[in-house]
Amino acid sequence: MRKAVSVKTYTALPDYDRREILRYAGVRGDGDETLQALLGECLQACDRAFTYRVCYAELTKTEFFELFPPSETAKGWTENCEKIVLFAATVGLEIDRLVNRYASVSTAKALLFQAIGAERIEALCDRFCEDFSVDGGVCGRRFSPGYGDFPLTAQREIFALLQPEKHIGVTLLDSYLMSPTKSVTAVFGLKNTPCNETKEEKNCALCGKADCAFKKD
Amino acid sequence: MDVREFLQQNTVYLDGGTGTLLQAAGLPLGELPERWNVTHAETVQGIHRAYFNAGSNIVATNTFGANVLKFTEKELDEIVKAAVENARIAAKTSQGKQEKFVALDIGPTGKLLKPYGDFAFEEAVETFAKTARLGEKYGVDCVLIETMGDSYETKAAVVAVKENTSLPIFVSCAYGEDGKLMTGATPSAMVALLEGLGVDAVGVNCSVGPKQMQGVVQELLARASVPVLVKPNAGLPIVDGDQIRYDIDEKEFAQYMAEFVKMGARLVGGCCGTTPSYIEGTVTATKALSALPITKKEITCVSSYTRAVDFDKPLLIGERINPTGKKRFKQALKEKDTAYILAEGIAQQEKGAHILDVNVGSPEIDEKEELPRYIEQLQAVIDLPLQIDTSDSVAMERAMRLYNGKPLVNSVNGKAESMATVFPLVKKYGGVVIALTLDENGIPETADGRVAIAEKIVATAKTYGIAEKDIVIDPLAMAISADKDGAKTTLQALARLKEKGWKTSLGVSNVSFGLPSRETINAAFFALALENGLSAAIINPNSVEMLKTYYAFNALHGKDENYEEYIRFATEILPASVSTPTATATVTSSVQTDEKSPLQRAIIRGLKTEATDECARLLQSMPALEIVNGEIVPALDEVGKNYEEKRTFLPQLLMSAEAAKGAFEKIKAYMLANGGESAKKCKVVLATVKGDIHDIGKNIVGTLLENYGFDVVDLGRDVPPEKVVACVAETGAPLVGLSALMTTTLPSMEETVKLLREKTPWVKIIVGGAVLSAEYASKIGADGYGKDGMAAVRLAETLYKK
Repeated sequence: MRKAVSVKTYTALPDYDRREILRYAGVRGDGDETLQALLGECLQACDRAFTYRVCYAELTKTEFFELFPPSETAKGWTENCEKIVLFAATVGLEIDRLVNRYASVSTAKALLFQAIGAERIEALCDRFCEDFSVDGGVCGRRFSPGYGDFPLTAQREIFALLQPEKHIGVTLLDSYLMSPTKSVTAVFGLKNTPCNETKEEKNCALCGKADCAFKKD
Repeated sequence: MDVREFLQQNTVYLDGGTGTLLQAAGLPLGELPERWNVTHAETVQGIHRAYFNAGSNIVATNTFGANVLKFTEKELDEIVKAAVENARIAAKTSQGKQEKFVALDIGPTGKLLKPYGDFAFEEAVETFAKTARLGEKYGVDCVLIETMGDSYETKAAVVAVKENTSLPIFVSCAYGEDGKLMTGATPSAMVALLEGLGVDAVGVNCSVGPKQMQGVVQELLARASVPVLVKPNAGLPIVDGDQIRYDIDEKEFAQYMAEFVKMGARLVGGCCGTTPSYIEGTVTATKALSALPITKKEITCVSSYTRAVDFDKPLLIGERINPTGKKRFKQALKEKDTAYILAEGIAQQEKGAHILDVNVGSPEIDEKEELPRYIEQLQAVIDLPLQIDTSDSVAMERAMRLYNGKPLVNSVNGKAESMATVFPLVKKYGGVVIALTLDENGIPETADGRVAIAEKIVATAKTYGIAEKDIVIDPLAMAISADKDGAKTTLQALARLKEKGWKTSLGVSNVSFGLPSRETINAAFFALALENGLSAAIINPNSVEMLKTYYAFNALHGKDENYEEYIRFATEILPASVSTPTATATVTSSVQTDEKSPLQRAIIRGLKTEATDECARLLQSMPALEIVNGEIVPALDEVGKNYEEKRTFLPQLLMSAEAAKGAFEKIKAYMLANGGESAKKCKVVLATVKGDIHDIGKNIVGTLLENYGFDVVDLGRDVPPEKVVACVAETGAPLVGLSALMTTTLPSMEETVKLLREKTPWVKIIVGGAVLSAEYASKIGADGYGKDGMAAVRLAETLYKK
């Protein structure tokens, strides 16, 4: 299948969500003063570290199911969807360099950098999806390969179609990991009717994992 | 006519997009375009012919993705052979009367190189080499390496073509709208790297249209001493259903291209979305313009994977990565304690060093293996250019080959043997080389003598094709305690070298050898040397006296715009460099409300500086062992307990671990200085398994284990099973920790466990990582599963006692 691939670059995203960053770093609550100071230092070092890039293609439902055999979950979330958006997003390689740089000097900082990267890539995906919400509403949540019954091997098809190596500098390693590590590939449906799922429902309530350290209350 | 010769006098026209035309001709979905060279030869010939008819001088073969990652060697041979033939036939059968050449087209592999990807540098070189050899065998005139997005992969491609063919090499990279490659390099950094490697043209293609490319083209033209190549897309893409259109037509494209030619671009063509009519338009719009001469830029610069550093104002070269006279550093080298060495590098960058010297020469160290390894590790985390410092030519070559940029090379001297060894390496891999003014007769006692040697070195370099700008002369700072006129001679030589327009460097601190309060002399000598024209100083960036001189000199000489650097130094670095009794006081004063000692409180609160200072203070009155057992260990236990009871969280646990590490570092240094080594429990080998590049979890475990007295050997990430086994066998370690994050890398964990069981049956294995569970751990035969870092420590303690 050959699809026209669009590329989108964002120059800025909403401000850092410090609480969310700490949650990714395994902290419940706001942390103490020392931790907040360290986080402040890390955020300062991230100045200009991020490039927000997304490449994507829009597929019809038929095309989508040609590419990926229809699983139970996929049949469910594609209901009422005319189009499926397939995308790859990244915040760039620099944050990986920061994580590695501090891995040898301060594991606490390295941990925070990687949490900042996690918060940024999620913020980028959220922002990208919101752009589709203007008329009629996006929605349904995003599904990434490796979650639920969407196999990790779907990465091969996604990469063949989107060519993120070329468009946004994301490469797929033999182990199916992506580099830069703060990259996401995902699909979501564009619905005909506005959607009324809240963000929390999209994220945690639908997930069956019981012992997740990151589960929101 | 030779293509190099043609390029000297003319504007050279390249071709335009090929992929789009192949699709229009019916290339089916999923078919690799390179196969059409064989199956649809006439269609491919037709496309090439259309470009020759439009006026192209160079047509690139339809081999952008022709490599052994996509094709078998046999098919690759057929494809390249057919591709070259197709272009040759097109040249013969086209109407154009212009000079016509065929370039072997080489594009990126789509894989990212290590350490951020999984493609080894030498693998990349071999991949490109196979295609390049076929290109030469089937008779292309030159090679066009294009659309490269990563400096390291670009270097691999150039090295491959250079080593395996004698073809002219044109290199073009894809810069984004931010003016950088995907992995961060600026045009200046790429010019430094590529000119160093001796390519015949540098340029830019793809990614954006001509309008967005202007800044990059300007920068390339300002920096390059070789012809500049420009091949934009037909503007920016507009997605129209399943089609892509571009927003600039032939006419507008040609206008932009005419601007580029007027600016000095010498090879022009098009990329995505451009067709023969775009090239024809460009030829028409520019044929009346005369090709601007190519000028030598005489910029002395070195580069890292992201930036070029020019010798246009005095530079500081950090000297701390060097074992000479440093017991603790030697110890780190012996233990392969990479973290210690990286930390030295990072600290020097934070102090303001512009370049880092890397010297790991020590009697117990195999430099041939270790120097390249440290260069790879440093360039993965530090964006400063590196100075490769060794007297071992094999180590030097290996390090230069793997270096991701244009290095500073330390050093060559006036001895015939030295020049015959070092210059060929500089010629092959590129670099700026430090030239010491000594030769077979020793170090001349006069400035004249040293300048004469410098002249000899520069003249000899020229015979190898190495330009003056790539030599930095070191007229040698000598100890004034041995010769009272030593400093004067060096200063005179500096002034003379400056008159010749040559760049200079000095190892400044040699001057004070044998005298008390060395920094006083060093700083004064440094100021004099700068005044006499010194271009770069090899110094200890931790020396505040040297930094004071440096920033004051630049401010006084109008080399520091708005005094920005001086002010940053005076307000940030200077205050941080004097010890802060206030911080210690806070810790001390709160003792009254708490029975814990200041050191314990500092560790619990995660204050590294305070913990380090306090430990140093305690060492004056308390035996080291007592500090460890009575202070540090109880504090760590409390933090660990708080974490396990969820009163504190992971980042705080790690901050405490780092505070304790600071204290341990003091104890280690004390023990080394006073004989004896600090007691360790046992060795633990840590690794993230093959295929997995996530290692934060493993690093956390490493930090905590070290705190608890284990001797950690960290093999890093993406480690093959054989390497883990070899390390366990060599060290006899009783414990191994393995980490994996992805389901896809679990099989390599299982394989590693199996191989360990077979070859090193004594070893106990702990596993951990996001996708693991206790059940899975026991299924693959591990001895324990650590659900988090603390759990891993507890497990290690139990297993170690067994």
